[in-house]
Amino acid sequence: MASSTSKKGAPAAAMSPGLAPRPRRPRQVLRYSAMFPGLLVLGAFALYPAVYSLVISLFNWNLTSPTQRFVGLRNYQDLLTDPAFWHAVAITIEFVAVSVGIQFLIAFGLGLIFFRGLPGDKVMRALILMPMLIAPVVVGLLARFSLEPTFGIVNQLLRQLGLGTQDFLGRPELALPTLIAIDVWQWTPFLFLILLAALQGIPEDVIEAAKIDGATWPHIVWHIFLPLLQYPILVGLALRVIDAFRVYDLVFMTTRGGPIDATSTMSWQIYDVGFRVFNLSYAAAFSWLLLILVMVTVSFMMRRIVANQEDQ
Amino acid sequence: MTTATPRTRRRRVRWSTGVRFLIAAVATIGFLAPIAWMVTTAFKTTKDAFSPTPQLLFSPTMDNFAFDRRRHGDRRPIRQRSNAVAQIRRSAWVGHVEG
Repeated sequence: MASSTSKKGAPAAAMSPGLAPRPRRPRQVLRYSAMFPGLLVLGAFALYPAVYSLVISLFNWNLTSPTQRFVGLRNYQDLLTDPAFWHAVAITIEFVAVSVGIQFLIAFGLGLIFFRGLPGDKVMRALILMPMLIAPVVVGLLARFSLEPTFGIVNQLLRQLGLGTQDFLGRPELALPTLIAIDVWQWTPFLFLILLAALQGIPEDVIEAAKIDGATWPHIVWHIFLPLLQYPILVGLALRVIDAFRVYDLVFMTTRGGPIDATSTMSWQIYDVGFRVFNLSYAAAFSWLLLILVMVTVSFMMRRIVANQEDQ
Repeated sequence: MTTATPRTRRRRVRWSTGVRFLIAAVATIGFLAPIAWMVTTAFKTTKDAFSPTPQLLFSPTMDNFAFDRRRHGDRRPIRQRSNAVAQIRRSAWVGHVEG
């Protein structure tokens, strides 16, 4: 970084030898005063809440008690020895990994089906994107309504097929897979959109050349498409992973963390601890650990892109 | 013989497009079905919406889209209003208040 700026600075100075050096101050005043509104908004709405949540995570602030005192890293220590925390971590990671994995497989498969054109593909593409446009709260309500054991449409259909009634959201072993299925239904279109755009950007001659060399379609997909599309794939997956880690509205509308704690994801537990038990400090510490987990996961996924950028 | 090869080739291309179309159509229906169900529910009466047997044929009602203060009034029990949109709004509100 340092070497590149000095390189840029040198020719600029050499090109204007006749001009007197401009006075520095007014320009810098202008620069900072132009940045000021943006910095103010950023500070007020991003920096201040973040720092504030970091600060309260170091106190024992409970809304039910009038006093609060500094406890240092106690909240973090308590969290890391709390089995409920590790349960939430496990549930969340399972939700993210399975859900995003299935979404990628379906979206990539659909992308391969769509990217070379089909009769009526524009209409079908638009229709497939519709679940993505519905608010997650509405999706949760729709799911609860249609999965309900007595009058829910899914169970009515299952009964007519002779498969019996399933309480999808009420049984501990079914609740998380059901949430994953709902998430897959809603968010596969998003990955599909990204992957389809990426697939359509592949030049036709690459495919032609591979075919002339005798490559079959599985070969082309595995050895050409996947390496060629690694960046769009990684970006799409990263966006989905970030979003899936924060899943809350869906849990809120369908299972509320239950049955027992089968679907208590980290975001749900943060809400539960913060706004139902009112232990704000514990919730703040929990949020920071979630943020760290998301950042570590995403930077692990992005290390390839970052490494390539540093080479250039 | 010379015309046979291109003809079979053209047929094979069409066949694979047909399979792709079929899969795409099934996927589209799969993604769309819940939304379609939600939209039809919006036109149902409470009785039809909460029926234990699927009501594929029903007489649609526009009641759920109307807000008639004289007819619904403020005293009308909340349960009697089968309105997909209002129901969603209500649940979100109840959840918000409860939470």
